[in-house]
Amino acid sequence: MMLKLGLALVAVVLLLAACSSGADDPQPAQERSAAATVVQDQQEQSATSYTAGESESVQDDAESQESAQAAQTDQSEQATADADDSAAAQQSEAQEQSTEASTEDAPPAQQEQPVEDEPEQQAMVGQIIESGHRAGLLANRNIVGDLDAPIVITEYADFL
Amino acid sequence: MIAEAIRTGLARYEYRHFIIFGAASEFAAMATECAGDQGAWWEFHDAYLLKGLARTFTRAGSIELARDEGLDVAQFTKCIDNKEHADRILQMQQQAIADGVSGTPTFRINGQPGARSLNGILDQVRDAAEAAEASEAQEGG
Repeated sequence: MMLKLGLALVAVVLLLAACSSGADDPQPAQERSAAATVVQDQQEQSATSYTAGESESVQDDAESQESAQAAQTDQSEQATADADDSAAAQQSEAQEQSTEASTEDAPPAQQEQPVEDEPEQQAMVGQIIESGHRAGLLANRNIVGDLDAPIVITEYADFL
Repeated sequence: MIAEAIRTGLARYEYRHFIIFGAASEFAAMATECAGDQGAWWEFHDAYLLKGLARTFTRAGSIELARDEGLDVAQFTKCIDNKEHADRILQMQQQAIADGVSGTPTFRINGQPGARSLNGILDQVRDAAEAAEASEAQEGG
C-alpha cells in the first residue's frame, strides 16, 4: 500500500516537472490554458489507474507512468496545435470581419469624382478667368456675390 | 449664366482652400489670403492658376507677384512670414473634410455634390435657380 502511494507521489511529481518544463515557453494564454486542461485530465486519469490496480508490479507502474507521460506529451502537443489552428482561424475570421466592416464603412470610390483631369474644363476655367468674368461683381476675399444669395456654389481647390 | 445669377443676387460663389499637396500648397493659400488683406485675393488666385506660379512657388516669387500687383510688399511679407492666416486655412480644411471632400476640385451646389462636368454643374445651378425663383414667386404671390 505504501509502495503504491509512493509510486503515485512519484508520478505526480514527474507530471508537475513535465508541466513546469514548458512554463518558460511564450505561449499565448489560450494555448497554456488548453495544455493545462490536458495535464489536469491526465493527472486525474493517472491517479485513477494507480488506485484501481492493486496487483500491478513496480515495473508495470513505471511503464504505465512513462506511457502516461508520452500520452500527455502527445496530447499537449495536439492541444497546442489545435489551439494554434483555432487562434489562426479566429484571427482569419476577425480579419475578414474587419475587412467587411471597413468595406461597408468606406464610401464608394467613385462617390465624388474630382473633375481636374479633364483638359477641356481646365481650358474653360482659363478662358473664364481671362475674360474677366468677375468684372463688376461684388467680391470679398474668396467670395463672389451676395452673402444672402439663396444659391451657394462652393469650390474646394488647391493651387498646386 | 453663373455670373448672371451672381450679378442678380441669386447665387454666390465661394472658393475654399483644400490643401492636398503639402507645405507649398499651404504656403500658396496663405499668400493668397495675405493678398486678400489688401484686396487682391482674386488677383493672386488667377495668377497662380494662369501663370503656374504655384508649381514653382517660392517666397521670393510670391513677393514679386505682390509687387507686380501693387501691394504693400512689407505688409504682405510680414503676413506670410507670420502665417497670419494659418488658422483660417486650417478651419477651411477641417470644414472641407467634415463635408466629405476628398479631392480637388470639388464642387457643391447648396451643399449637395456637384456634377462631374461643368455643363452638369451649370444644369444644377440652373435647376437651383429655377427652384429659388419659384419659391420666391410663391412667397410673393
